Formats: sequence, C-alpha cells, structure tokens
Amino acid sequence: MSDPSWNNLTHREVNRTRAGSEDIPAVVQELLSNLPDETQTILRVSDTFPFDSNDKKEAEENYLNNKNTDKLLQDSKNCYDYVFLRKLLKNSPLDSVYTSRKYNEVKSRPVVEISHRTFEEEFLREPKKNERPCVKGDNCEGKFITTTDEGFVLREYLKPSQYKGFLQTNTLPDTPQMCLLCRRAAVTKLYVNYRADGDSTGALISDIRNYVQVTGEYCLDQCLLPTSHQHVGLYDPVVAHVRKHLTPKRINGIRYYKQTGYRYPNAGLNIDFL
Amino acid sequence: MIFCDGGLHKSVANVDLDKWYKEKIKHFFRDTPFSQCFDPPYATVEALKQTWVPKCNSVKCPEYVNAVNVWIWLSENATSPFIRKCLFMFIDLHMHNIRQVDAHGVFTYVENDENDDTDVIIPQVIMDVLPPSKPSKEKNKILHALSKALPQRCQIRNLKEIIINYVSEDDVFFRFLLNVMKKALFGQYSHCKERLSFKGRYILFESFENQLQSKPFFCKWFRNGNDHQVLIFFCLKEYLIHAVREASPVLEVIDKKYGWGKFDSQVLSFMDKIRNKLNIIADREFNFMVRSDWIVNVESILINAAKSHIKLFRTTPQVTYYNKIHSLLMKYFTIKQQFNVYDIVTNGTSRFVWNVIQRLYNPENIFKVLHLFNVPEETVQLLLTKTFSKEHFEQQSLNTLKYILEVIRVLAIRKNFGIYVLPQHIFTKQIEAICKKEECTAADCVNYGLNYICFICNDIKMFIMKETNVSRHSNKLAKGSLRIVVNNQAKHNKLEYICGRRTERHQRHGKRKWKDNEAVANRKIIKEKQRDAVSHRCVNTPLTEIDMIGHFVCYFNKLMFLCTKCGNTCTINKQSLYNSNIISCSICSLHQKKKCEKCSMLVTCNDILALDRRIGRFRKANLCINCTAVHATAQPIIL
Repeated sequence: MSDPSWNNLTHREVNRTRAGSEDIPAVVQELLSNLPDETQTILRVSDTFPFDSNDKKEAEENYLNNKNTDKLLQDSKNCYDYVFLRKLLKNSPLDSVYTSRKYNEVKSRPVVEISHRTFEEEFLREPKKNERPCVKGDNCEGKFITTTDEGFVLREYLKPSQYKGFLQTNTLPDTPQMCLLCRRAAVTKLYVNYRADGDSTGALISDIRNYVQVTGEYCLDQCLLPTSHQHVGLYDPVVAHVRKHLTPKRINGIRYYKQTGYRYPNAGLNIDFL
Repeated sequence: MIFCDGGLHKSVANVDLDKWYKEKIKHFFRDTPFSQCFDPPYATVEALKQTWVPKCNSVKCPEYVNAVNVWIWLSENATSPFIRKCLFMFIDLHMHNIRQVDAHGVFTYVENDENDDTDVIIPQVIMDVLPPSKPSKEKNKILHALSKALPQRCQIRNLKEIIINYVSEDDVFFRFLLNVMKKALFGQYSHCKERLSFKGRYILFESFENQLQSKPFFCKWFRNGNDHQVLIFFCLKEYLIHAVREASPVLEVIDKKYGWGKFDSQVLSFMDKIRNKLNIIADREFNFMVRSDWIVNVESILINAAKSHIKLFRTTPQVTYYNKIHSLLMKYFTIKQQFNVYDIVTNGTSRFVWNVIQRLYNPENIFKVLHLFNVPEETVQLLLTKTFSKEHFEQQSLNTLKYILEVIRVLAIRKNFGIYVLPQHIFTKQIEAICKKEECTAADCVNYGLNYICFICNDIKMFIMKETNVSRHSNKLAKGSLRIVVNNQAKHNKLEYICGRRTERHQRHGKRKWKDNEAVANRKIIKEKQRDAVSHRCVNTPLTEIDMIGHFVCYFNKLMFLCTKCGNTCTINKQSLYNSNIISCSICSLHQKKKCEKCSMLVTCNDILALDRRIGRFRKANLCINCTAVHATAQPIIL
C-alpha cells in the first residue's frame, strides 16, 4: 500500500516524449487546416512589457519562436470520409452551438410582438363576415372550454402588425392562422415538449408576448415563464392556456369568451410600462 | 370611465350579474316550468320530492325551500352531465342561505362565493411541479405539497408532518388545502363522473364550516387520524390530474411521454368510488342524529389504492449511457494508476472533434470519426449501438480508450451547451444598457460582451450577478473576466487566454489530512492526481470566447444572459421578470436610485402604499429611508 504522505504527490508525472504513433493521425492533421480559426479577442496588451527577469525573457522568446507548421495529407485510408469531413467543416456550425458568432453577424433576429390584453380580447369571439375562423376548425380550443357545453370556433388571431395591415388594406394574411386560444395551447404544448425532450434548438416557441404586473394586463403567476435550469425557447411571459379560465358570453348576438379566470394584477405596481 | 380590478378603464360597463353556471341553467330551463325557480321570488312548480326539510319549525320562506328542493330534484334527474354540474355549483352557491333557513327559518341572501384560488396556480403546476422541473430555491409550500402527490417514488411517509407544519405556518396553504379537499369530496371538478349528492354536500359543508375551517381543529383531526393523510394525498393527486386536464395540451404530451393517462384513470376511478360511497352513506345517515365518521369510512378504499402506487417519473437524475461509460473508463484508468488520461489527446484533436460535433445534427455520430484515430471499427459500432461496456475495455488499447474518453467528454459539452440568438427587443435593451454602463455608443459595444468558458474544467469566466444571504457581493461593479491568464507559450504567433483556475488541494491544506484513514487518504490522493491532470490540460488549452451581447448561453444547466438594465451577466430565474417586462437580473433594480416623492432626493427608496389623488387610486410610492421612518407607520399615505 502506498504511503499517503505528501512526498508521493510531490513526485509529479513529468511530461514524457510522445511516441510517433500517438501523434495526431495524418488525415486529422490535414483536416485541422480546414478548421476555422480559434477566435479570442485580446482587448488590451501593455506596450511596455518589462524585461526584468530571465524567465520573462525566455517566455517571450518561446512565444515568438512557436510557429505553426502545416503538414500535408499523407496516406489517407478513407478518402470518402476525408472529403465528407472537409466539406462538413467548411459549413457553418449549427446555430445553437455556434460559439464564434458575434452579435453583429446576426442578420435577422426574431421579433416578438407585444399583445395587450384588450387587443387579445378582441379575438376571443366568433368571426364576423370579413374575418376567418381558426385554422384548426372543429379542433379549435374554443370548442373545448370547460365552462360551457356549447363551445364555438374562434376568430383567427392576427399579430398586432398583421392587424394593422388588415385595418389598412382590409386583407388578411395569405395563410390562415390559429385563434388566440389555439396559439396559447400550442405554446404550452411546445413548452412541455421542449422540457421533456431536453431539446437544444434555438427556436422560439412564441412570436407574441404579454405584459405582466402592469395595470390592466395579466398576472405573472398565470403566465408561462422561462425556466432557470433548461432552455425552453421562451424569454418573455406568455399567458398559459387554462380552459376553465374562460367563460362564454353573448353580446349583440355574437358569442365571446371572457377571460374571467385571468386576474388583473394588483393596482399600483411600479413597473415601467415600456 | 368605470372602476375595474386593475384601475380605471375606458370601456363599456360589462358587469356580470350572474355566475356563468347560473346563466347556463337559466338558459337551459328557459321554456320549462322551472324557469322561475332560480331567481327571487322563487315562484315555481312544487317539487316532486322534499329532500330538504328545514330543521327550523317556523320557516318564513316556503317558496325558497320549495325552489331548493326543485334544484335538488333537477340535479338528480337532469340527463346532461354538464347541467348537473352547473346545478350542483348553483346549490353550493346557496349553501349559506340553506343553512340560515335551517337555523332561523329565514335568510339574508349571501352567496357562498369564496375566493377559489386553487386554479390560479395551474401554470405554476405545469412549470414547477411536472417533471423535469427542478425544485426551486424559494420553496413554495403549495407546489411542494403537490409535488409529493406526483406519480413517482412514494412520498407519503413524511406528508403528515409536512402538511401539519405548512398548515400551522401558512394561512394561504391551509385555505388551498381545504379547497382542494372540498372540491375532491364534492366532485366539483369537470372530470368527475360521480358527484356528491345534496345530502352529502349538506353534511360535509357543515363539517367544513364548523370544524375543519378551524386550524387547531384541523391539525388535531389530522394528527390523530391514522389514515387522513391518505385522503389528503389523493385529494392532491386529483387536483394534479385536474390541473393537467385544464391545461389541455399538457395531458396529451405527458401521456405520450410518461404514460400519465394510467395515473389519471387510477386516481379518477378511486375518487369516484369514494364519492359513490359517500353518497350511499349520506342517503342512509342524512336524518340520523348521530352519524358515523364518513371520512374514516372512505379512507379504507384509498388505503387499498395507495398500495397500487404508480411510478411514472424518476426522482433521481438519470445517468446517460455515455456518462456511465465515461465514469467506468475513469475508474478503469484509476485502477491502472493512469491519471493523465488526456496525454495523447492534443489541443488539435479536441478542436477537431469539437468542430465536427458542432456541425452534426445527431451529435452521437461523432463516434464515426473515431476510426481516424485508429479506433477499431467494431468498437465504434459498439459505441453507436450503446453496447460497449466495461467487459470490452481489456480488449482495447489504452490509446483507443483515451480517445473514446475524450469524444465522450466533448459529446457531453455539446449536449449541455447552447448559444441562442435573443429576440430583437431584448437585444436592443442590452445594447442600451451597455451604452449606459460603459458610456459609449452602440457601435462601440463590440467588445463589451465578450467573455470566456473553459471547456476543459467547465469553469465559466463571467462575473455573474448574485445576491445571496451568505454574500453581499453582487458583482455589480465587476468588469472583465474571472480567473483567466494570458498564455505566454501560445502557438500561432498570437496571444491567447487560458484558464487560470487553480487546482483545489484537499490533501495538502485540509485540516483533517492526518486524521483520515489510509483508504480515504489514498482516495484523496487519486482525486488530486486526476485534478492535476485536468489542471495541466487546462493551462494548455485556449479558452472558448463567447459574445454575450444578443445571446442567451446555456452551459450545464446554467442559463446566462446580459441584464437588460445594467448590462452585467446574470442567470435567469423567477425573479428575472418581477421588476420588468423584459428579463433582467432583478438585483440592479433593488438598489436603483429613485426620486423620493416626499423630499425629492435621488436615493435608494422603499415602496410605501399611497393614495394618489391625481389618478384616484392606490399605488406604491417611492420614499427615501428618512421619509419612510416618518410615514411608513401611517400607510396608506395620501399624495
């Protein structure tokens, strides 16, 4: 049994000379030249480097003398793999693991629009003449609300920017879309799925967001939020769909859902509105 | 302009005079003889059956008594389950009036409209209770109790103590528990096939009102009853299945992933059974002077149910196949007294593996490049099919095993690392925050978001905003990176940063070093040798640079981003949205200087409740410490 004293530890393993067979294989060596450069940004280097000791001088000489020497491809056993890997390495990495990406290289960022409570309530009703019903038809969430046995298909939801276009030109988007409740349900579904799968794609699960803890909007407790231990494709609060929180209402012959279960935040919270 | 919950609103007054279920039954019975029985003066047909006969001898509202009996008759005979549910809800609404008539023969109209907060937490159940949620540091009592009822390793053993503690400590929890019990026993959930009859409701309502609502009584009742915890256990389970059903797509997903449907149907069938039994007992004992203990009667059913406990979720994290192989390989090398397991893996090799894996949709395909390192084809196949095990170690050369170890390490990084592009609105706020912090223009922000991660020792080199009870250091004023040094032996003629993390030495500096027995000391020595090897590799490997601006970085379950208010790196948590509508660190807001609304000084302020006469509502006003001392006792103050 070895002696557990510190003497054993002081006897460190010295870096042994590497045998030829342990070096990087030639194919890999060649492929390394195709690897993108490692990027690091040295922000500031002092101009007056003091040469006051031999150690420092030696360190600097080592740094200056080290030069990369490219080796040529020698006997590659599997040229198909080589070509494939070469092509692969020339592609960009997957978005979610692209470590070298700088913020100014991102050409288009996802836009998440704000959907106010009053705006959303406009869409919690049956469609009128110039409007379209939810694309899910008879599977629309509006038909499965638990506070009624006579659910109905809701109006197609338009994002604020789309709604603006609709008001200006009276034309709807080319492709029919889901209603607000189906959207919320889809977000909840993706949220649970995302977490269960441990997925790591960079996709967002909602292109709208809600205001919380602001007078006249929603409560934070009733929203889906980003989690602290797993990426879920959500950075902003989005109202969670709960079937019981809606109650049917008929106004001027048109059926509406009122968001009776979604509470208003306590008045007086001091949050900046914008 | 009208007053609403949230303050003043410009909208048409749209006040609901009736509950939705009352509207529904009124609409349903609109052209029938029962149409007038739901509203005063309750002039309706005579009830076919007098189920409820008031105990008071001088009843002064016979019309109301008749109407209640009509409702009861309808609730027993209506064919539509939805209408029956609505009728029961309507009867529950009138329970206080029924009891008043029972006691005094007359009633002053009161609706039993208790604040039912149980459904408000459904989104939190989805986020924080259902797996794979991680218990949060700030312990929510309700969510904790609900997590006990999940279909996982049985956790009923300590439920009794937990419930008693929580009930004694927290009124909100107590109210929630009573509501959940009431809903389960009465069958108030939408999914209930069996609902408690009027007789059962009447007796249990009385028990809840007179006895269980008192905290000391509840604690005593719960402590003394041997099996009451089983009842509460199942009431919590039924709440869980209700929450999952209400958040509709969740049921579909977790049924597919974990087989939730099995749990759902088990709980539902047992709870329906106990409601059925309660109905039978209620029929038998409704007019008795002395009744048996109903709860004890039904608990026997639940004890049997608890024996067939369903486990769908794990309570411990699952070790993946490759992680297991990694630890087995490490043990193998330790037995062989080889600690520097990465000696043949050069930086170039690691970079090559990382660069390939960065581009693979299925990261496990990385094993296919192992043949480039002279790893036998059969071994690669075994790894891909996940059949490579410790029995195969002896057949491999040490070099092969070392390359496998390295690839598995890189694979783990690939699976636990993510850098995601943030949406435009967060990015814009981050740039604004950095410009404010660094006093620069948006174009000059380029380098302020750069930071590093060591992929060898997995050390994150960022000053992360934090404020804990242990430390007051929030890193608010910190700049640059943590534990990094410039490599003065770098190749390629350029400077580079490397990890400056020091190896921890338990053996050398530990106070108990000479008290350990030989085995423990040896174990520590081995650990130190392994750490030494990692450390040696660490100082020879350049750090990975990451631009934090406009990015959300995830590394081994740590989610980091730049605060949209102060521009510092922070982790995401529940509080990130408490003070703002865009994710922020939540720490900078705590110490933000605000203008005191009394003395106009720009200092850190407290929130004081105030009635603002300009807007005509209550709000929280900012008052400095001195003004708080004067005015805090007189809240709400008038501004």
